[in-house]
Amino acid sequence: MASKLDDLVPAIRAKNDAGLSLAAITKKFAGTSKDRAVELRERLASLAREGTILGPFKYRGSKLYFAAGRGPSVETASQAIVSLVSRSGVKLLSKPTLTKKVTGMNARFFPDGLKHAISSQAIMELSCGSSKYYLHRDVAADYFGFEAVSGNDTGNWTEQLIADASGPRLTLEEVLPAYRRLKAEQGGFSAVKIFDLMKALDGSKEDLHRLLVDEAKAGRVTIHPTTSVELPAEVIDAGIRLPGFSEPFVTVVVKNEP
Amino acid sequence: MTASYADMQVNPFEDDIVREPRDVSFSVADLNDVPLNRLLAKVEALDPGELPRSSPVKADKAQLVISPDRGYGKSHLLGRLFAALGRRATKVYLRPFQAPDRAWQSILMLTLQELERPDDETPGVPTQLQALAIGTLAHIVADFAEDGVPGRPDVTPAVPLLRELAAGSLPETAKPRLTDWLRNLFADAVPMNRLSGRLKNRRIDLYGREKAWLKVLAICALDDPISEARSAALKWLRGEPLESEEVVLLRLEQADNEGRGDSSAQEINQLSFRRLQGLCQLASYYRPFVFCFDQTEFYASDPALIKTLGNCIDQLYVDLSNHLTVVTANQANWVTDILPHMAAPQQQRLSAEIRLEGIGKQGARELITERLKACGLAPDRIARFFDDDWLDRVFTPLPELGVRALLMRAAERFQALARPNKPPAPQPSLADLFQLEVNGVRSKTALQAYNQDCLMWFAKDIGQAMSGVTVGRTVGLRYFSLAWDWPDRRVCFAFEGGDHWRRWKSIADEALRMAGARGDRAFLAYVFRTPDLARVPRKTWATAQPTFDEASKHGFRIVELTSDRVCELHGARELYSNALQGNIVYSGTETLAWLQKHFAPFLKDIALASASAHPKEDRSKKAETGPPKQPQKPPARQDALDGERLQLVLDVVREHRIIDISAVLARLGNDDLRDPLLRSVEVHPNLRAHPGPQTIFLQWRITA
Repeated sequence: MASKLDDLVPAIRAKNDAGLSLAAITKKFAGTSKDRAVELRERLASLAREGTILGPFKYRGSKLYFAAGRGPSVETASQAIVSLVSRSGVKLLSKPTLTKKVTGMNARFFPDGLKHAISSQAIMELSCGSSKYYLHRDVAADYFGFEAVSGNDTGNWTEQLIADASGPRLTLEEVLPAYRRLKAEQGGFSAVKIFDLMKALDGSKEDLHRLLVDEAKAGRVTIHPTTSVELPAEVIDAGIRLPGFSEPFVTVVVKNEP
Repeated sequence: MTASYADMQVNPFEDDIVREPRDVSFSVADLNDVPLNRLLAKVEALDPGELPRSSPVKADKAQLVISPDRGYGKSHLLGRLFAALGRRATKVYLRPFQAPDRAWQSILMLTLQELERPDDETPGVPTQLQALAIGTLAHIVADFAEDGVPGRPDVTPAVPLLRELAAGSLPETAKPRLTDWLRNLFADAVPMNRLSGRLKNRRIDLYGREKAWLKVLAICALDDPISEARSAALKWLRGEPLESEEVVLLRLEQADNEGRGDSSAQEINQLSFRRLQGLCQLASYYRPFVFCFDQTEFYASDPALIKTLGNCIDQLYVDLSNHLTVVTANQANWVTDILPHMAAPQQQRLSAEIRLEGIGKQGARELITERLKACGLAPDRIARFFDDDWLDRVFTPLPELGVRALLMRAAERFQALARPNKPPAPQPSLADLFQLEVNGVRSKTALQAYNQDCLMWFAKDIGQAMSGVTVGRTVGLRYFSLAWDWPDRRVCFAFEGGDHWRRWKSIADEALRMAGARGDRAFLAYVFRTPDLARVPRKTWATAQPTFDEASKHGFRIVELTSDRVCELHGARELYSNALQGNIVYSGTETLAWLQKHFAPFLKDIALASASAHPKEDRSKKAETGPPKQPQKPPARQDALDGERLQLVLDVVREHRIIDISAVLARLGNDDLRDPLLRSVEVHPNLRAHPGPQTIFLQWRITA
């Protein structure tokens, strides 16, 4: 007897970073029923679009699904790298050696994971000629006797700081004057870049995104990707990314505006 | 009824690009009604209530339809506009022109190609040109008769009948008598003078060519549709020079034959504009024109083209009456690529934006249901499509989406329902998308008509892929407007759709002059022709034959493109246009690079085949410039299937609902019948062609 689809996410979540293969999922949740297979496929696609699960990732002939926050990612690859560098102590690991040691699905994320590990100040990159070597910050801290602060702590602290600094929530009425001015400046065309709006308001991106998504849900504004021209990176970065949509939403139209 | 999703061979949601506005047959209630109504209101303003107008109506600003992103239905809106207007306007869909100095020639050519089509596929419906001509002539005669003719009291009662004939509302039984009478009237030179004088009463000024216009329209209205006289009349309308026997055939005066064999591109362009101006003025007697510039992203590749587009919009506003201009664009392309190159006064000729809207949940349900219903799916099967709150999930968190985004999600859903055990289909390759466009062009005769802009685009944009080449517009030449240059080789291109011997002799003369000035470089000079054009040169061009022979020895080539090649070239341009508009996942650059690779052997053939120094190495499929192989009748339309074969096709398609064209051809027992079969499908109300990358499917349509 096939299991209920409601148990799908818990089953995938239970597998943690190992993930659950499509074959195993199909066997468990669809059995031999074609109708159940359709339903299952739809559910998997929908969960992936919503961001509840990740996948399918091809790995050694299997297609794996992971729960959100689990499975391979830039972060897990980064953690693997940090752990390897830490364990190695003052015996420095070269980039090729490190590349070989990061195996499995994390290997796919190695280049980005390495960048992440360096940028979060968990490890530092040392150069010798054209070769690169890596040293863990705790090893250096022990050696020089200063206090180490983990990357995660820094992240939490930053988020807390942003949360504390944020005052009352942004409203559409506050955004409208800037929107109208930008619209007029571009010849009356309604779709205004979120990037331009963000600059004009001089506020936080997160606040603006939250407001625009809320207003879009309420039907007072529409947000749009712009796929037919190449946009500068900062315009893309200022865009809103939503689960299930591959392109960022970079422009906004306020409805019923003359 | 189709039993299940698994039985359906065609994904009904993959068709998410409008290739021809005329193909639009369904629209969701309320979706984009605001922009549509704004456009309709503008056309209404051209409507005088009762025809003919007392004077031509001055044009309004060009209406600018803006999409916030790709896939919000610009071309679809034009399709709805066309359908809503029906016979109230002559709708001209303008694909981008490619030569700044020949823009009006392109617009006129597309206008006449549109006028050569009937309003719809109902059997017996006249072409729009014929209807326009009858409408104009009948009203002019009615105007004349209304004032009374001395000694002819019987004429005045004919006025209402003539007005009815002009409006197309006269009963079929009464038409022959009246059209015969008109034929006799316009065959006589004496009434022609009086009738042409009536144009001034309605403030129509055709710059001294009033009589010529009436004679030409009389041929278009009343002559055999495939006669030589009609072919000559069309040439005159296109601004092409006429042979002396054609001038006699049309009963024109020599001065009316304004097209010159040795006209420059500017002169041709100017004459084309005057013809268009004439057609628009005469619309006072008939119905207004609606000119729609679509795919405007194409102009962004060349600031000269943008400037010309601006000039055209400006001139349409200032100098052409009885029409509405519509321009469509994606906002990002328009604001980023087009507007910065358009002069400020030209921008003033554009209306404020008319913004397209996205589709909501209710509209989505309607659209999806309609598409599934058209495939013959039973209601319970259709309901299954929406199971598991699928639509809610699609519209979470955004309550409004671009229509194409919705269709893409629906295509995924369909795929999952129809083929549950198959992995999701990979993104279609450029080869697949190209073949899809080629099959799309193959399915529509109108998309295969001679298009100089497509040929220019091919020579310019595709040609630039060749190693070491410099592609550019020529300077100081009349006909060979584009050249490929290498240090040791020059290949030039002229674009000519006419068939006047003097024009062709001038082209050959220019080729000879260039060949003489080439120095040590190898030289080739090409003119491409398509199957719908008359063969050139003609056997009767004895005076020019020595020039052709000489030019041929020096690299002059007239290349007769095959029908397959025309479909490929036109399909390529559509594909590139789709990429520029963001309609496909590949960028313009990627798509162009793929097309350049695809056409590399053809480019090589053109560049290297039979340089004048090595005539025996010619590998291109070129037409000899010697005597023609076919008689010089006007090119006939492609034939459809005969009655017996058509019946077999109807039986087969009705039985299968949807079937691969190759299976139908197998039943017909002859693969060569593909094109006639497609022509029959095009005009039959129960048949519809679905172009796919591998093949074309034929679908049975249930009609009321």
